[in-house]
Amino acid sequence: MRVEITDEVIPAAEIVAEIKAGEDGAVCVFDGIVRNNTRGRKTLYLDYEAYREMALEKMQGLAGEAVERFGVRDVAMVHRLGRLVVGETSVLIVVASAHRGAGFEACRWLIDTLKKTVPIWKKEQFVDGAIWADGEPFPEEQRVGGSSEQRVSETENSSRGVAFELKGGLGEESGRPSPPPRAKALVGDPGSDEAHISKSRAGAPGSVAKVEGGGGR
Amino acid sequence: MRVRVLYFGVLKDLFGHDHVEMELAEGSSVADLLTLHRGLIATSVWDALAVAVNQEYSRAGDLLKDGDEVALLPPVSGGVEG
Repeated sequence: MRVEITDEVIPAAEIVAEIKAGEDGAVCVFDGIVRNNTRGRKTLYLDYEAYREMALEKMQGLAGEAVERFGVRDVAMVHRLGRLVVGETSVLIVVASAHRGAGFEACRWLIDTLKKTVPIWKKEQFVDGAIWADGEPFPEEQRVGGSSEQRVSETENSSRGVAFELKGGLGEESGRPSPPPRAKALVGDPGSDEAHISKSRAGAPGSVAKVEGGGGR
Repeated sequence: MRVRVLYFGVLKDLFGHDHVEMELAEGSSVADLLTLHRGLIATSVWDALAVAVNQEYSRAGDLLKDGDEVALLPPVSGGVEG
């Protein structure tokens, strides 16, 4: 199984050609390409990023699961990251099988499941702004946000912006045009991409301890 | 204990960096870490979040330990639209 995350152009024709074997009766290809608009808004390019190691592992898992679930012979799945312009392939899924039905089903399941569970994100650059694309909701078993318990403790802690300086930016939502980032770490070397939140200044342990005592769980 | 927290997608923009090292009380859970973050920045992303601990999807009640890599994952949007 050829499963890759790449920063280069995906060699679609080569991948399709190399997967074919004598026992195959069908090769089903899903070629996901960058469209020139989203809901009528003109797209200039997309920037894809990933939690790379985890994304690759999840893709490998999906490829193996597709073979088991649908009885197809082989799967190739390649996702590209970085800046892609209109018409370029962002994801290629190829399924080789003895019969077409299983191939179509596996191909459909692979792209649908990838879009829900593989940690890859894209930012859409339009002529008049950029937004992070609305993601597919996580399956229930993977989502951890949004419990009522957490909302209660959020209220209790809302006044404690210990580690970060907030300059507005409240009520931000993904999927809408957003201003530049406005929250930054108070503690940390601005020249480094790593912000250290120290024990003494951030008070994180105290906050957590208080959350526990305040019914945060 | 010290954990490494990774921010992706819109969270990376909101926080202005892609990771931080954080000190947490022993016995802190994924939910505790989220509660702490909810107090830092208000965004609807928290309600739709998934969390990966050492690259595996985790549950809110999972306990963290020293050295863990905790990734805060907004809803994913790989592949193509439609």
